[in-house]
Amino acid sequence: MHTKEKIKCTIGLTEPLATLLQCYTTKENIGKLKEKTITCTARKTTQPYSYIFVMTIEAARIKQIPQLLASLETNNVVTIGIQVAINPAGNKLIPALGLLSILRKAEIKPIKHYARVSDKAATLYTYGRDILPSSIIELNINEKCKDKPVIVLTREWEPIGYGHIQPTDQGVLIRNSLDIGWYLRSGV
Amino acid sequence: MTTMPKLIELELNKAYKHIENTIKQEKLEKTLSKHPWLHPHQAARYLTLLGDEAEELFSTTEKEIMKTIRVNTLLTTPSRLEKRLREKGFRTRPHPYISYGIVVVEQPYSPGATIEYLLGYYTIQGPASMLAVPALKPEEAKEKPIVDMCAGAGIKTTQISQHNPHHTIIALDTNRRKLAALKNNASRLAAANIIAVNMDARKTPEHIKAEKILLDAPCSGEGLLPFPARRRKRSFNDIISRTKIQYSLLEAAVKALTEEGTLVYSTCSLAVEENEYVISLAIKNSDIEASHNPLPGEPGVEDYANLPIDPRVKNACKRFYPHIHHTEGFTVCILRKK
Repeated sequence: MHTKEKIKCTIGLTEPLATLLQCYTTKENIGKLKEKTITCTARKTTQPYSYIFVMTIEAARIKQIPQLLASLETNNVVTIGIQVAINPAGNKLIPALGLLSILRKAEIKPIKHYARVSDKAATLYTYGRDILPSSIIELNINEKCKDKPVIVLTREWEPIGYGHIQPTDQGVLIRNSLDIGWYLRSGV
Repeated sequence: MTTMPKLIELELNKAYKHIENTIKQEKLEKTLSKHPWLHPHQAARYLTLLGDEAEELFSTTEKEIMKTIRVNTLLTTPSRLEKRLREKGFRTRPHPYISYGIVVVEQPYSPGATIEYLLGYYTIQGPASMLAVPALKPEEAKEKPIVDMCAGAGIKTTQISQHNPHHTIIALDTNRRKLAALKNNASRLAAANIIAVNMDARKTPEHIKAEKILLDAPCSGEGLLPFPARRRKRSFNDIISRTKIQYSLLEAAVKALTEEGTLVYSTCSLAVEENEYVISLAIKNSDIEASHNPLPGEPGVEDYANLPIDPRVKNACKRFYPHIHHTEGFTVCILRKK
């Protein structure tokens, strides 16, 4: 976030975020997550897109957050919980790595729209490589979310990033769109 | 009326006169010829503090310091992680003082380059540095937020989150780049209860009342003397300027604390000026008292260069020495608002 920013917080999950989560998990799981979550949207006045943040804390404490934020120098707020998505114009969210962390912390396994891959492929994926058809152990596609990336998982169901499905003569290839190696490669 | 910065300058300059008058020149010269990376003022201060033992401190090498990682208990357990690292050729043992700390004895490659690191199962943290947060007992926070006043890249902030994932944590720092690293670390480690603000922590009382505050103060970094790449020559004036900043941060922390709130003050420094002395000033001039420090380590120093030091700091502060504890040099003090 930078200066001159508008921050808007909603108790629970916003509709676009809940819709995004429905690509990967059940309504029941989303309901559980809602109870202890506050979602904040921060938009730079000079940019057409906004950042979506999720903070998970004890339900009783959630109501204090907007008041607390108001008492802080909101123009200088860098993060409110974890950044889970970017919202370009049009309300179609692009998931960020933080969404995977939120799901893991809540012990929610993706049950739809995912690809489980071999150990070697998982390691290479974190170096920014694609997944070859022969390295895919299991692929589950949610037809309703074809415009969204699949979650790429290790053999042990650990999320390592997002990818886009690309059919080839040899089968389905997963193009790397974002992987956890970014945490190192970003140099931040 | 003498202002606090002026008083600090006067008292420290008096102490440094005492050091210059009492230090044995032959000993100082011998030390400097053996360890030319030391500033003469630095060598004189540690010879005054530790006597002959200072040589052991200066001779401690990087290899003698434990290499440690902190297991992120939000996502895994120490035993599960140790098993996975073992399978990759790492040899580990438990941290001597902390249940979720692991000492890396042998590493086939850097612990910062594993998939487990990227998955947020652990983070790299100094062996003594990970003791400041347990001293704060974040898990006991009830109403008001927990504040990490000089959060930097958020290594200790995410540790606070690990201790209390349900409470609001406010992380402050003046360095926006470091806070960008905090944002990434929070995401990687699934620490979803942190609000990070790019703000001078000295303004904390204007914005927040906190039940627990961690003040990991900016310091001379003299605890890192065993690390050639990180050691810096520090003159008397360097220490004076840091002590002034540390006191102003402490003053703000005390004001921002609720009644009976806990303040943990820590530095990666063994300088008495930056620890026991500045804490003594806070005890004398504000509504704060020394609290029992249950951590292992050596007790706080009461007697150094004729500086006015409150004897209660002996119990409130714990020191970790590279040559004794095989950690980076580190000091942790616990205070309680009256």
